[in-house]
Amino acid sequence: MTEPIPSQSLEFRRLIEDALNDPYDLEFESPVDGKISIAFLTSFANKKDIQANFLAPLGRLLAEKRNYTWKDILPVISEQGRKIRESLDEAVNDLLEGYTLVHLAGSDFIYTFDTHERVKREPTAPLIERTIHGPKLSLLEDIKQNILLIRERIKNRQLKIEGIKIGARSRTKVAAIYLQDVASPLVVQKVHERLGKISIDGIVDSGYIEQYISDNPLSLFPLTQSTERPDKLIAAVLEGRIVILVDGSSNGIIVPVTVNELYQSSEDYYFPFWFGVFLRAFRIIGNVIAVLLPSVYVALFAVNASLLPIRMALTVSGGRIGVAFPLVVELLFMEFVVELFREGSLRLPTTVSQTLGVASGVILGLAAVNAGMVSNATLVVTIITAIASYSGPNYEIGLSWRILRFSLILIAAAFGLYGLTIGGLVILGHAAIQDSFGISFLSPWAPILPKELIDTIFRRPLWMRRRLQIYQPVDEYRAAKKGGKKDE
Amino acid sequence: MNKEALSPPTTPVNVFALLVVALLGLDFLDLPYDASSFCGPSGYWTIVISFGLMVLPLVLLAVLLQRRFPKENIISASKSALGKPLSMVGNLIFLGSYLTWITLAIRDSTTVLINCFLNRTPAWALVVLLLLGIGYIIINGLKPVLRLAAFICIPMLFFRFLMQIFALQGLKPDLLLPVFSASPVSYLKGGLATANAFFPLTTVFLIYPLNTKPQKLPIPVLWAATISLLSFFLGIVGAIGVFGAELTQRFNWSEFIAVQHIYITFLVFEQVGLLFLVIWTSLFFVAAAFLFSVVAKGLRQQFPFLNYRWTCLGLLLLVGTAVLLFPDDFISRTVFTEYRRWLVLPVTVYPLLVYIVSVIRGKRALPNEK
Repeated sequence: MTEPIPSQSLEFRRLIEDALNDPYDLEFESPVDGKISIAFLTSFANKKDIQANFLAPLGRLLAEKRNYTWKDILPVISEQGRKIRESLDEAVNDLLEGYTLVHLAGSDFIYTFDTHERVKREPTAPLIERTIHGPKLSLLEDIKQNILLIRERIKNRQLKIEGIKIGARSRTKVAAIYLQDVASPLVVQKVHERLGKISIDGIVDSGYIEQYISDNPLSLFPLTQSTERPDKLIAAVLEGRIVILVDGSSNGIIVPVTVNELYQSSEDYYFPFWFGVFLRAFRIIGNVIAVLLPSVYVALFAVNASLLPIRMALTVSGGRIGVAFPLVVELLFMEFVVELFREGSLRLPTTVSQTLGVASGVILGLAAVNAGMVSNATLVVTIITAIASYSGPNYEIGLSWRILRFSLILIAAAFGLYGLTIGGLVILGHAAIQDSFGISFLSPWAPILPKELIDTIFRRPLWMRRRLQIYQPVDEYRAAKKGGKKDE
Repeated sequence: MNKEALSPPTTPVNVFALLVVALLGLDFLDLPYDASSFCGPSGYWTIVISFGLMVLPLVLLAVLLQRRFPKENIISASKSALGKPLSMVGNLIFLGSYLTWITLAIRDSTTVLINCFLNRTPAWALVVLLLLGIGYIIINGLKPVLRLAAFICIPMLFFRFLMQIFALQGLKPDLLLPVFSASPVSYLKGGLATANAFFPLTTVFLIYPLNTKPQKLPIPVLWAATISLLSFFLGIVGAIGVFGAELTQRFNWSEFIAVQHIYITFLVFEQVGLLFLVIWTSLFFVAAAFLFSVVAKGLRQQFPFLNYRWTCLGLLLLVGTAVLLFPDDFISRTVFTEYRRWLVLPVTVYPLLVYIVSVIRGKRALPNEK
C-alpha cells in the first residue's frame, strides 16, 4: 500500500479509520479551526501529554495567527521522534508503534511524533540467576532500556546495534548487538541470515527467536544462551559473541554458546581467582550429582549390587524391607513428586510457596516412608538430587538434564552400570552432534582446543589477555601489551 | 579432490585422541595371556617388540603414502595405483577386515559383560543396545565420533592408567624375572602375536587426509601408539607380576582380572574391576563407532551411489547378525583369537602394496586432485 497522504482533513481521518478498521482506541483531536488533525491511539499515548504538547501550544498559535504553515507549527509542538511521512502506509505503521500523527489540511505529507508511553516497571534484582557478588539488576521488557544498560557500560564506537522488525503482525523490535572489530564475521552473517529468515505472525518473547535461530530446534540441549542479567550480556559482547534483544522480553539471547558457558556464573569472575575456581568446580560436581546420582543408585542397588561393600549393600537393602515397590518404581515416584513440587511452587504465591513447599515436602516424605512407599535411602537420594539440580546457573540446561535423568534411571534399571554407560555416551553423542552457529557445542573439550581448556572446570585468571578462540574473534586480545595502545 | 576422504578436517590433537581411543577401546583385554604364553615371565617385552615391528613401519608407510597422495586416503589412492578393478577387490578386503574385527570385538565384549556385569541378560539385548547407541552417533557422520573421542579421551586415559597403576598392588618382582627368560625366536613370535593390539592404528590410512597439519602426521600417531604401548605394558606387567606367568594363562581376560584384585581401604566399591569395565566400555563404544563410520565412508568412496546413512544401518544389521550367529563357547573363542592375529595382515600389507605399486608405476595423486 503506497497510498499518498490526502490533503483534505476529513479524507485523511476516513482513510486512517479504514486502514485500522475503526479501532476503539483511535482518537482524533483538532484545534478550533479544524485545519489540523491529530491522530493517536489512546492505548499508547497519554491524553494529557497530547493536550500539553500539541493541543495547548497549537491553540495559542491559532489565537495569534489565522494563516499558518508547518513553519509556524513545528517550533511550538513536541519534537520527540519527529518523522516526515508521505505515504499512508508509513503513517499507519507509525501510529501502530505509538506515534501521534499531525496532519495539516492542504499538505500531502504529515509529521509523526513518538508519544509512545510504555508500561514500565522498576528494574529489579534477577529472579533466576541470583548471585552474591555483582550487580543486582535484571533486564526489563523495554528494548530501549535494555540497550541503554549495555551502552552505558560499553562506551565504544565499535559497538554495533542493528535493529530489525520481526513478525508480520506484531512487528516486534529485535536488536543484534556486538563489537564490530571483535565478533566473528561468519557468526554475524549467520545471525543476520537466521533473523532475516524468520517468518511468523508475531513474536511474544525472546524464546520464539531462540527456537527459530537455533541450529537444531529438536536438540535436547539449549543451543542459544538465555539470560536475564545485563552483566552477562556485556561480558558476552566483550568476548566477541552476539547479543540479541527482543522488545517485550526480559531475557536476552547470547550466541554462539558452548556447554562450558552454561555452567559459568558471572560471579566466577567477580570473586578472586581461587574463589572462582572453587565455586565453578563445585557447580560442576553438583550438576554431575544431579544427573547421575539417581541412576547410579538404581544401577548399584538394583542391578550391580556386587560392586558394593557387603555391609553397605545389606544396610540399604535392610532399610527397604517393607517397601511395597521395586527400587526403580519408588525412585521414579519420588522424582515425579519432586517435579510436581517444582512446578507447583512456581505458580504458588511467593508468600506461601516456601512454607508450603518445605511443610509438604517434610510431611509427605515422612508419610511416604511410613506408608512403605519409599525407603529412607531413596528419599535421601531424591532430596540430594533436587538440591544439586539447582547448582547450575542456567535454567534451560537444568531442564535438559531433568528430562534426561528419567531416561538414565530407566536404562540403569534395565542394564545396570553398562546401560548407564551406553546411555551416558548416547547423550554425550547427542551433544557432540550439536553446533551453535557453526561452533561445536562441546568446545573446547571436543574438538580439543588445548589452550582454551584453562577456562573450563577452572576459571582462568583475568590477567590473561587472550580472548577465547572458540568464538573465533577478529581481535584476539582483550587489551594491549604493557605500554601499548588499545582501542580508542 | 576427494571430498569424502577430506571431511571433516581435524587437528593433530584430535587425530591423537581418536587413535588412542581406538587403540585402547579395541583392546581384547587378553594381552598378558598372549605375552606370557610365548615368553613366560618376561612376556612384557613382546608388546615392545610389536611396537617396533608394527607401529614404526606403519607410521613410515603412512607418511610415505601421504606424501604421494596428500589428499587421498588408501581407498582413493589405491584406484590411482592399482587401477579400478584390482583396487575394488583390495579395498573390499581392507574394509572387510575392519568389519570382521568389529564383529569379533563385539562378540568378545558381550561375553565379558555377561560374565562380569549382567549374568541374566541375554546377549542379543546387549548387542542391540550397543548397536542402537552406535547407530545414533554414526548416522550423523564421523564428526560426532571425532568429538566424542576427544571428549572422553583425557578422563578415560586418566582413570585407565590410575587403575592399572593400582593394579600393581601386590606385585612380586620375582614373578617378572628373569628379564630375558625366552629365546629370541620366542620373543619374535610373541611380538608378532601381540602385534594385533595395534590393529586400530592402521585406520590412519583412512583418516590421514583429515589432518589439518599434514606435516605433523607422525606426531599424533606416534603419541597415540606410545601411550597405548605404556598402557598395554602396564597391563602385562600387572598381570604377570601379580599372578605369575602360569596363572595368567588361565584367565580369559587377564588385564581385567589384574585390575579386579585391587583393594583400596575406604573406597565405596568392593570391586574396582567393574569400574575398569565401565571405562573400557566407553572407549570400546567410541572405537567401534569410529570403525563403523570409517568403513561406511570407505564403502561410499568405493561405491559413490551408496547413501552413507543406509550404509551405516546395513553394516550395523550385518555385524549384529554375525555377532549373534556365533556360539559363545571355548572353540569359537580359540578360533577367533587365532583368526584375529591374522587379520593384521590385510590391513598392513595392502597399504604397502599400494605404495610399492604406485612407486613402480610412478603414480601420484591425479593432477586435478592435487
